[in-house]
Amino acid sequence: MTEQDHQTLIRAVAMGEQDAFQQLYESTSSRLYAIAMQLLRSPERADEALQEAYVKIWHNAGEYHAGRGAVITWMGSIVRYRCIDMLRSISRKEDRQDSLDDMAPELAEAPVTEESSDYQAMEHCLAQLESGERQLVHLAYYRGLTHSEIQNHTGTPLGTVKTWIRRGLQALKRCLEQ
Amino acid sequence: MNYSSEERLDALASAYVLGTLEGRARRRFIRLMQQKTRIRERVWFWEQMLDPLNDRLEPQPPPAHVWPQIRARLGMAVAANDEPAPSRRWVSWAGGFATAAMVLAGLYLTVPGPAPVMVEQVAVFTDADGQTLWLLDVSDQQIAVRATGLVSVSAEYDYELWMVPADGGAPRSLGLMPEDGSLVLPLTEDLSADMVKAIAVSREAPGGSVTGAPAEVLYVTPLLST
Repeated sequence: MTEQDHQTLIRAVAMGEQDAFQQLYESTSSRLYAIAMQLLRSPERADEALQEAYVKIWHNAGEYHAGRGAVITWMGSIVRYRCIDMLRSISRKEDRQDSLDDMAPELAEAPVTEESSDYQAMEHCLAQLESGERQLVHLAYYRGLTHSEIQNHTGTPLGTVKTWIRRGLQALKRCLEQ
Repeated sequence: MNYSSEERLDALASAYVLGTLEGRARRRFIRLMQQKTRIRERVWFWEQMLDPLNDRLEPQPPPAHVWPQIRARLGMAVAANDEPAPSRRWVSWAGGFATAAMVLAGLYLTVPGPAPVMVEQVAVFTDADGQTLWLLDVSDQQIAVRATGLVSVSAEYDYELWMVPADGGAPRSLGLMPEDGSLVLPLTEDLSADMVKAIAVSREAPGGSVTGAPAEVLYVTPLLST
């Protein structure tokens, strides 16, 4: 389904059209569930995050506009922020160390979306980063780790964690804007 | 914390999107984001910048029980089976809607000047580039609509205004929109904040919707209380 299709659907969803909402769910839920599973590593928590995200998408569809980027980007951000909130809550209540054992992000060998030019640019720019910067950006993005959790997991001093992530993001930005 | 520096704002917005902005700093940033367009826009920029990272995640279909549970949370009737099976394909027919020549109903009145009424709600419709198309002032009896001059005018279609009920009911027409100048639509629906999810503009055959439902929804916006 194209971005134009998603735009049509999100406008209809904002109008309260349940069939359009269902069609949007069919088209996007596999990508959004993958984001939730990658961050939360638990089917039960990913289910919960996905449900809450789609409830929010239903209620807030009228707030979507082109400035937010593609519809799928906006929807991905909603589920991602929900997952981050859940991870922070888990961190406060439990020792998250158990779930950090298998830290490597489970990534496909190649981009899995049809339109991969954005990812190709990202891949190119990620390759320009120092390996430490790239690893820490991955841990933060794909696992939702805080600076402190990255410090505990990697043994990298906290100041270095912050610096490398900030430097990595700025380098990504410079590269992607070229 | 100084948010005026571009570099500082970039660092905070990227940390927020990445998820590494925590605790009080994150709450403060969210509050400022709600207040300041510049900060929101920088967050949107970073969301779009980092989104391609999700292209490397293998899509995973969620379990079948998730969809009916979402519907149940929203108070929608749950289908007999758990499999999504839309009865109306929005994407397939939204693009192929034929315009038919219809009789113009003449539902609105020309306004000689500003209406001497108390405005209780306002709304703004903008296009994809953020340019304002229509401004709406809603009072308890009428909706004063002003077109900005950027509305695309055609003899082949009309624009129709709709209210989307908060209870999930079908959209209800509020009348045809002006393509230039100002008009007043007599208010026929209860537009109080708890009754309305959003308002919308659709493109219709001349004279307005022939089915009682919007044909092609172009713009959706919330009603804001003054």
